[in-house]
Amino acid sequence: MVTTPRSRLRTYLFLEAGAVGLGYLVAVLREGAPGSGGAWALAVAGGVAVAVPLWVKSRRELRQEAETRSAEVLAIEADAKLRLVVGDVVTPIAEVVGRVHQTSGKAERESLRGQLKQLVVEAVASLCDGERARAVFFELERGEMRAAAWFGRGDPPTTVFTDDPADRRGQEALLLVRFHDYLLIDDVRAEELPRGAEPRPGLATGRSSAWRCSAATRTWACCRWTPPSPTPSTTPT
Amino acid sequence: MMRGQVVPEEARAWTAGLLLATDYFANARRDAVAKASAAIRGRLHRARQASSEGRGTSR
Repeated sequence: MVTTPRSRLRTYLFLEAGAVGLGYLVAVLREGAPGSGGAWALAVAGGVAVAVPLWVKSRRELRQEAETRSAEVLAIEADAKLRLVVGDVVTPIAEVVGRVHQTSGKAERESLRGQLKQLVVEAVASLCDGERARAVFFELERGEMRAAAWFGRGDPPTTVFTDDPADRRGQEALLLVRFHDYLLIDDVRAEELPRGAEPRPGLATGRSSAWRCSAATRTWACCRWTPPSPTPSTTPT
Repeated sequence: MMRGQVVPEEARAWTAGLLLATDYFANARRDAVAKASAAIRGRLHRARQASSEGRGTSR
């Protein structure tokens, strides 16, 4: 979380208001306290006339400062995200991709591929900014997609996507792969779900602590189609 | 002159499976925010200085 240092603007505004108020008081009392009701009303009206521009000015300056601070926080967040993605995720993963291609031993290459899948799901779950995010890497082999790597859950995913006519969500998931589509559902409770997608049981009643946001896409890994499915609400397991 | 590691030690430890992803990303996020904060505030400070110097010389 980005924190910003305390500003001295409020202190300056209080000092300015105090100095102006004192100056006005001295000006009013220099020739003695107001003696009649009319003189008091005039003094109060003068005080209000002095206070209103001060109040408007301080409001404007505080609003400008708040806008500047929020722009600064946004800039810091964007810069931090870029550093995190490029420096701490893409670069180390790219190095492992390079090692996969450079290594000559088949066993070592397979080990590095497995490592790569795990790194990708860990990175996806850690970068998506959600709480308790999960990511699963499904690998397509002989027409079926099975979980090959996962992160954010204790138990291994048991979902298998197949092209079986009875497996509607499997067919839809395979269509995503075939057409290289991505699917993003911001809120599975609020949005109309696409065909084949279904929320976990209990989600509609709000009693479930399951996920609300879902994303899925296809990626290439070592010359094979392997779609990772971060936070796959389309796959109730 | 500047010289440093493209892939830092912590990232190497993560890719090698020696460091938990949760620990790695918690540290990486904290470092990224600290560096970004210093960079953006430094840039803003320099921009303010340049603009106040510009005002000073234009008189």
